Amino acid sequence: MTTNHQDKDDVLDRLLSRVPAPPAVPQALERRVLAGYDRIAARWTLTRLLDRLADAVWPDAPFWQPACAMAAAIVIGLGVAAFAPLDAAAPADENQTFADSTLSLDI
Amino acid sequence: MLDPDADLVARAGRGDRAAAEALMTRHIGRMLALARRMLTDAAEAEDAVQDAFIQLWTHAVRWEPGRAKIGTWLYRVTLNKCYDRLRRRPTARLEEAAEVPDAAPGPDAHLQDAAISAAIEAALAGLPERQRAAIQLCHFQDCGNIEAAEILGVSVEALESLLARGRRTLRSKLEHLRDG
Repeated sequence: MTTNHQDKDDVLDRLLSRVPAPPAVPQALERRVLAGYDRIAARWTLTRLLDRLADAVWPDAPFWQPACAMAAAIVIGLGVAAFAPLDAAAPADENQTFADSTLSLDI
Repeated sequence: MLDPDADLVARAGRGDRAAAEALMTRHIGRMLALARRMLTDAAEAEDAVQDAFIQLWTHAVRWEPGRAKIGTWLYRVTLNKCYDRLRRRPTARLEEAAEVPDAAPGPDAHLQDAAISAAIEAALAGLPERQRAAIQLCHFQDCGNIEAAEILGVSVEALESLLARGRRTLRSKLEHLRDG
């Protein structure tokens, strides 16, 4: 029984070994694969530029750290701009108006 | 164990085209052979291999060394691309592929050989996807059981079971060729 099974296995192995090797890789495919590489490598240029920028701001930190710090700075800046009283600017404007009007009277 | 391709992938990820070309040259032959035997359609097999390489190039820039062996990963991706294409095929075509042509002895030995090869390829094409992949990897790609199991994403025991079932089906389908 086992010998019979072994024989059948040998026959199958012999049959499988008769399947010819696949033909060579077409050069057109190699060119397509490398063209794909070139296309994707071109995209990396922008990514690398962003990485270098992040590295200059915060060396050796993962990209999200400088990005979060910058986002927090923007939020705080906008918050200050929106809610903080800016009274100091008003008197300066008034003085300017007064000076302008005085000047025009002289003329 | 150090993966001989890890350095090539790292360099390719830094924009080194020569490294990308070396990687392609090392693996494209086996990937294409696998895809051709899985899909039995040369054009579709080439598209599957191209898609697999696109996936490699996309991952190369952030490839983590030691995560997986690149050859194994590439064959797994190729196999998945083949599965996707097989599932998109109309059922009729699969049934057609499953029919084993009659390899009756003819006057010309070369023609007879071609007929036997065609019969074997058709029998292989008629196997369920995973059994076919297991037989392709172990018989035609010279993968060891451990590597083949890794590519298929199964245990070695599951691979052996797939192989046994695949071989049993092939034996019964190719019974008529025994004396060929």
